[in-house]
Amino acid sequence: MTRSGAIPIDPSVRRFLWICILPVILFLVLVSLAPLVLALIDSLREMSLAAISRHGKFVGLQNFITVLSADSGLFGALLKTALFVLIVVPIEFALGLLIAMALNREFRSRRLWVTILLLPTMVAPVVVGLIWDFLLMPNYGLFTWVMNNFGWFQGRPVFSQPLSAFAAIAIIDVWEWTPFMMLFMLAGLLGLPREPIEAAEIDGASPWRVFWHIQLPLLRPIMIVALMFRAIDASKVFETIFVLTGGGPGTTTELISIYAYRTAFQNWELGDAAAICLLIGFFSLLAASIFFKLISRQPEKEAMADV
Amino acid sequence: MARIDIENIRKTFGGVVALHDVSLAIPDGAFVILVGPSGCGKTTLLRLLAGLEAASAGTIAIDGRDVTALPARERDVAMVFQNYALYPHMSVRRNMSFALELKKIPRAEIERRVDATADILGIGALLDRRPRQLSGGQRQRVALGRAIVREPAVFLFDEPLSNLDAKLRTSMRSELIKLHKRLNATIVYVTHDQVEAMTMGEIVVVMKDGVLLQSGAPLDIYRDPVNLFVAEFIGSPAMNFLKGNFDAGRGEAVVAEGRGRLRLDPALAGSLAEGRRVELIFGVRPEHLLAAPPPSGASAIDGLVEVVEPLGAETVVEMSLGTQSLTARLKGDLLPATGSVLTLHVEPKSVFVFDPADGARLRAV
Repeated sequence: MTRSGAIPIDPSVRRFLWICILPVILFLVLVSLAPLVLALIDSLREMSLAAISRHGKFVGLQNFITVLSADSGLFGALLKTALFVLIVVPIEFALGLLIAMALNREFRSRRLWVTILLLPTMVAPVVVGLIWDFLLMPNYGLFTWVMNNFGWFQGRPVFSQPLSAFAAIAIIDVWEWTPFMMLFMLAGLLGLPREPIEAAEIDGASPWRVFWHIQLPLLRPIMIVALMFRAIDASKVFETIFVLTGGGPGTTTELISIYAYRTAFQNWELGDAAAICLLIGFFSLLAASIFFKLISRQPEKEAMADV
Repeated sequence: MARIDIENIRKTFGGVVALHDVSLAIPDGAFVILVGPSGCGKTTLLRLLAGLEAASAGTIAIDGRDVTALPARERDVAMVFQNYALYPHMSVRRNMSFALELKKIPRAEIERRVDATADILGIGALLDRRPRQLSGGQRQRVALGRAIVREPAVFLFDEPLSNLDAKLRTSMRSELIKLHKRLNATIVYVTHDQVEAMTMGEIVVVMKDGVLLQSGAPLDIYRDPVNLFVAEFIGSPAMNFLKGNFDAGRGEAVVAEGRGRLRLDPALAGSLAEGRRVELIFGVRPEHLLAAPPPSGASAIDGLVEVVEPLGAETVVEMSLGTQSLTARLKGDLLPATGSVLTLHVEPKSVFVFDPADGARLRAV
């Protein structure tokens, strides 16, 4: 892990190292850097398919002005995304941690349970969408039938009401991603040093106090990573919603990625879409830096370095 | 302060037996050392006392109260771990006060006890630091302080000095002895270091393969080991063992293909003759080998001097006797030349005799 300046590297070794790194650099340029540059360029041009005559013309910040105007729907989508993230991630985290704690004991069928519980996360998101689409199908869906028997959602499908549609999307996301949190937390719990926990038991701590005073603080670093990971991922949710509601009814479940998709491929406002995507990147950066600021202000931050 | 009664404790892990029906009575205020090679079950026994492992059979009582089924938190024991096991996210002060807070002891009282304990251990200046900002020796003291501040019935130590350097270890050793005198507490201390066992323990318990071989005062074990393993394990440098034959007619042993003749204590020689024992193992401690013949007997061992270690106060000599070897601790003014033949002598009462089949000590009946 020394810096390249620290040890002189033989030129032939240096060449070999470059050859090793080159594919990755090429890959990153092709899938990450080039699209970013293209999006940047497109965001400054008139790309609407409805305006063929002016197509490709440089329009400055006009696309950004359009997108950021009050009636564009961007802020609505951002708000819904924030709401979605703030609802599902804490629930997934709490449930995941709870299940992980239940599995954090030696018992014979533990591996089997972990595998079974992980299934929802392992399934491709599109398939998750399709599975729930079938389960909640208006007339023939299994869950629809069950709920109708209780007198719920009779004659009004789940995805036809704004509130129930949004709730359904959130519940499905929780179903899909709680196992991921569980895996993260279980790995964290299993990776904790045993001695401080035993020391606390001898010091007179009940299991609950051991968890609260010892395990939870020691888990902090991994909890932060897991929350970060899920928050980023949840803010990009697309496939399940696309399959289930396509953003509807109306724009109830039109989270930011769906909004960008609709702008690009339903309204064919490609310049506006490029501007939206860049703005999403900007807002993500903003959210992440706020998140980091909040964490690093915690008094117990030093504990992170110990584990 | 408490007495501990361990009765027929057995512990199995899967199919492996870690402890075979161990029984031990520890009087109130004793400093007990569990010693033995790694894997002998000493740490398992300590963890059973702590309540970190459940016994497969048998009972443990602290001050007459059966604690076998009680969880660690209800046993009123404190433990100092080998790796200290401090709470990494808490300050030294909080590490020490944690147990007291759980007991709902008033703030002022906690402060008083933590400060007093920190004073005893000389860690008053470290109270606001975190464990990772401390050196190994300091962490050791904090771990100790965390135990002391609780004023528990029993202290348990799991090889607490093994991670310290030699010099610190020696000073901590004498500090622990002083601390024991001061606290007057019951201490059970696990170590694999026989020097720690000899110097610190009031009662030494030697274990091997999950079996309690011998327990008693350190010098009693040194003077009167029950078998070859204990004889070899206690004492440094270790006891010499020479294979040889017992000559019943002359009452002496011929060892190392005739290179040595050891006169035995008459009573012991008598019972060996009676038992018709011939092929035996004879043990002599390095410090019992003498350069000048004692008045009592004509024992003599001739060895080729291989290594001479002059330590000033004493000279440690390693000799070879054919295929066997011998270590002797001689007076510091004796410096035999490497390669020379040296004749050493032994008092008859200093010769131990062991059964070659199972290592059992053979005594005068």
